[in-house]
Amino acid sequence: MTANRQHRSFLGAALIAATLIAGPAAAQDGVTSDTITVGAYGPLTGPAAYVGLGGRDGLSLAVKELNDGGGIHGRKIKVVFEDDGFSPTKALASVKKLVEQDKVFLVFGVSGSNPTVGTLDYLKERKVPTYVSFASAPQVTRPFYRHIFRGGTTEAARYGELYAEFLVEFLQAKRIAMLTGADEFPKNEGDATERHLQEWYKAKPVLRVEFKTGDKDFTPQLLRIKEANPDVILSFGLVTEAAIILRQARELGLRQPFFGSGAMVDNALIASARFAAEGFMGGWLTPLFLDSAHPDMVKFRTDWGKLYPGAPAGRPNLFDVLSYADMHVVAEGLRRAGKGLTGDSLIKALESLRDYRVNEIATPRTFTDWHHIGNLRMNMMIVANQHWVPLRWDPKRESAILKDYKK
Amino acid sequence: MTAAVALQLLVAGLSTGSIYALVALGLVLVFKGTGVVNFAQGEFVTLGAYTALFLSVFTPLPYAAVFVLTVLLAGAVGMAIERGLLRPLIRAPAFTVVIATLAIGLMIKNALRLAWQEPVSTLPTPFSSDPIALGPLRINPQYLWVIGCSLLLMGLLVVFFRASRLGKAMRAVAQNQDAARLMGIPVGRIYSITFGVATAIAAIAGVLFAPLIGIEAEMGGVIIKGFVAAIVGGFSSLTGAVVSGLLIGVIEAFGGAYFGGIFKNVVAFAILIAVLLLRPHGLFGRAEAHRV
Repeated sequence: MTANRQHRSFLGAALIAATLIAGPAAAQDGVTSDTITVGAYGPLTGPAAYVGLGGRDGLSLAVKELNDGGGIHGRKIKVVFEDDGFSPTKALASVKKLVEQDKVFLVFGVSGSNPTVGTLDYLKERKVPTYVSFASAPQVTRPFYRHIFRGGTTEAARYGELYAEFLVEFLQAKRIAMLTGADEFPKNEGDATERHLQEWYKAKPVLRVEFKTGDKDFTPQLLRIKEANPDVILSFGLVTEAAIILRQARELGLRQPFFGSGAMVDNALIASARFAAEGFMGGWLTPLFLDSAHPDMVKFRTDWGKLYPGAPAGRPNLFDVLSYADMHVVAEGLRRAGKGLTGDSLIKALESLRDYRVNEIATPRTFTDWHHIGNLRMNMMIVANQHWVPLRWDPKRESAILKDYKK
Repeated sequence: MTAAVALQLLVAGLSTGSIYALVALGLVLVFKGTGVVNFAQGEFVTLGAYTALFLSVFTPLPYAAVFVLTVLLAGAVGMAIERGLLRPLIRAPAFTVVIATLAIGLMIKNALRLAWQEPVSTLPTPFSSDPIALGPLRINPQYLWVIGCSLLLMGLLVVFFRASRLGKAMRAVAQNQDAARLMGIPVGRIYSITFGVATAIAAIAGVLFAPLIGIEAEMGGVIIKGFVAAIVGGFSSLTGAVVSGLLIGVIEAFGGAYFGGIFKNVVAFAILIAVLLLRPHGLFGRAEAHRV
């Protein structure tokens, strides 16, 4: 072998070695030496726009903080956001664009159950690391899939566990009536609560009646509930419906306490139903309410206000908080994954998180290599003197959901 | 079902039916005056409610002033929309105009949704929130105000169309634009006035119902029931629109009590189909006569 040939062979081997070493990083979509591209989707238009707008803006605030702090291992985070109009087909198209055209590293979902479920098969097939900040549909995390994580909102079945325990153990309710929306999300919550009331406490609701989203008159259902004479009335649906239900219930002489969905825990309920909202209870997905004087919440509101001056009434909302907190969870995963970032290293890093949270505005997130449900907690709130006030209650029963996963 | 429960359902049905009646009134008015089916009528209700909300939040005006100002502003907006967006389409096919009104409605809805992101808001009123108790019957005073206003408005419009020169001119324009123009009727101005009045009626509906159903970007969805009421009533009859609206509200309330809340809509649409099968021109409509 001549010196020249030896030199060429050495160069060739060096090139192959360099390619092998640099290969994974160079082949990793959405990761360059100075940027990590995150693709996000959610509704910016349509009836659920407040969900996606909150999701987008909370996410952007977290990204700004991270980039202002120098990024992660020298890389700045870039977000590409797609509007899905709260439609499963549009959500799928958005996600395909993010993955195939924008070549994002991670998909971050801020949409809600219906659109998110529409994207899952594709994301599983493409093995794209996916972090769903809010969608309670069980399909997000059940069956377990390694590339998909659930953040702020927990599984619908968990709501059922928490609500059933709260109603029976804390409120000591024996006669429970249910007034639930017929759509996917309130129906899931209602079904899960009814199931756990029966399985855990042998407490069958005395009556369950339904309504259609967008209904403006609930008199027929409320008259039947009045006849059933329950201790507590459960109502699952949207805050728009809750405001009318509470007012009409009080007008019809129903004095029983109401307990409702997390979606009903909103200052708009108090503003709309006024004194009819007094005593209303519901679950809330973060430890602090939006108008809390806690320094962490005050800082969040201040920073949010600086980034979005002149924001419309109603903002920031719960979804701003959830996506902000979840982007910080992802960032912690990116930090732990190290400089040589890959989808696999991010998954392992996220699975190492135990009770992680950016500060006290968020519930802690925990992931393991056998479940990716980040949050199993919820705080119960009550309207007292026209303000949302947290109730001092913590669940005692172990969640059956994690037991199922262990099996 | 006890008599007390039936009466309570009747009151609830009449109040919900008033919403449908007022929306149907606006639809019929525009159709009678211009021959246009206005798909933005629901969003004009939303616009009225939000205008009143903004006036009550950002100004110290009392309810009465907010009410009057909202109606006037809405009327002006309706006229401006007709002049700027619909007048250029005056010779376009009817379907084009219908799609244009649909687009106007969507623009109004989405602009309001972005401008005010509270999921639901309300409007303060001078009426007490305590219901009036009449034996076992409990009535929200706002319901009586709404039902009364709806009936009064219907009466005024009937008189307006039958007795006033402007009303007659509007009917003439709806029947035949060219003939009306040859008779010296300013067709363009009649169009503007018609849209202005219809938008003002929608605004009245928005202000009246905001305290009962809340203010949200989707409240214009009530147009579907408004259409049902207008069609059942005959689509050219103001009395028919109001009577049908009230009737549908009452039937929905009783349908919900007997068949469950989620079948309320089924009941309304079943009525629509039954009426169209038995009386294709609606309960108060008449077949148009054509000279041959």
